[in-house]
Amino acid sequence: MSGPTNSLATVNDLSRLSRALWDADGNPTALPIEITPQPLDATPVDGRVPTLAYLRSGSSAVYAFNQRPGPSTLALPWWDQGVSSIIVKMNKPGTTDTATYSIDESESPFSFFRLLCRARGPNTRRTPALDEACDARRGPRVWDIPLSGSSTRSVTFTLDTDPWTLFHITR
Amino acid sequence: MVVTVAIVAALAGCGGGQKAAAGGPKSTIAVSVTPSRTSNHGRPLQAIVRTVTLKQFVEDQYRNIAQLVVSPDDTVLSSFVVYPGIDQTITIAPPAKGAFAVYFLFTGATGTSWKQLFDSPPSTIHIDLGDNQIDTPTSTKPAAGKRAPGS
Repeated sequence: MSGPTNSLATVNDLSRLSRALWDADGNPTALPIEITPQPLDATPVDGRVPTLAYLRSGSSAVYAFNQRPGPSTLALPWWDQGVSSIIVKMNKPGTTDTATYSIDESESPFSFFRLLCRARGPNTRRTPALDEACDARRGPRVWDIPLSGSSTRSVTFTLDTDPWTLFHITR
Repeated sequence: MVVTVAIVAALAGCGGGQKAAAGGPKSTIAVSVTPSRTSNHGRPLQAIVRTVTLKQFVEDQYRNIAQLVVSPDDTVLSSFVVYPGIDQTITIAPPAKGAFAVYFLFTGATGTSWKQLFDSPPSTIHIDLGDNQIDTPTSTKPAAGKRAPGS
């Protein structure tokens, strides 16, 4: 018996996807995504410098505060991603003056992946087309977060895991 | 970068108004930071002050301390940002007992040069910090700065 071309591969991919999304008891399983925070650009804007940035989806986040680079795991609650955001906190040295800026993807089942699509590669132009940005796999991703006025602050996180691989289905 | 840690005796009830809390007079620790412009490659860095035992300090890993920046536990006395080239002083409550340690989360931290143990409360300690590390501390009074033998 034979089926349509690649049908077996499709079935296998769907089975793999199912095992990744649910455990044996049918409970949803968070997707582990390895992410390495990168140092923050310290150039002042209006006297403020970035002291903290984080990439958040629902209740899971990875933080950047100029620490020694090393991978962290974002346990993506794919069934409840809620709002996904890239956030930067800018502080005025010597004061408690803090300003917070972000790019947010509103609550939806795929808000984290939509947020990924709003990043660019480190060597690409600043406003990539949406489909171009979504083609990105592993490697550094840069978000240009709007500040006051027309200025932006770039924040970089490196994806050590390709978050799209799981959803690749052979057809 | 120079860090000054000073125990400031602020006697509770001074002037006859309040009684000292059980266990003796209250004191505070003033932490003064004088960073150079080139510390941490000119980028802000996080500092943590926490109570520790010698064993904990020796076994402290950078990664675990870094987690305390966003998820502080009961051992953390203070967490603050150091800005290269900007002086600042913070005041913290002293540990109820035992030693405390100061950690600087340099981007380029190696070995154990990013953390310093004080196993008895010093009155004033100056810690010179290089671009990516704490240098040998000096003090105006006998102090007990110890570098861990391992990270």
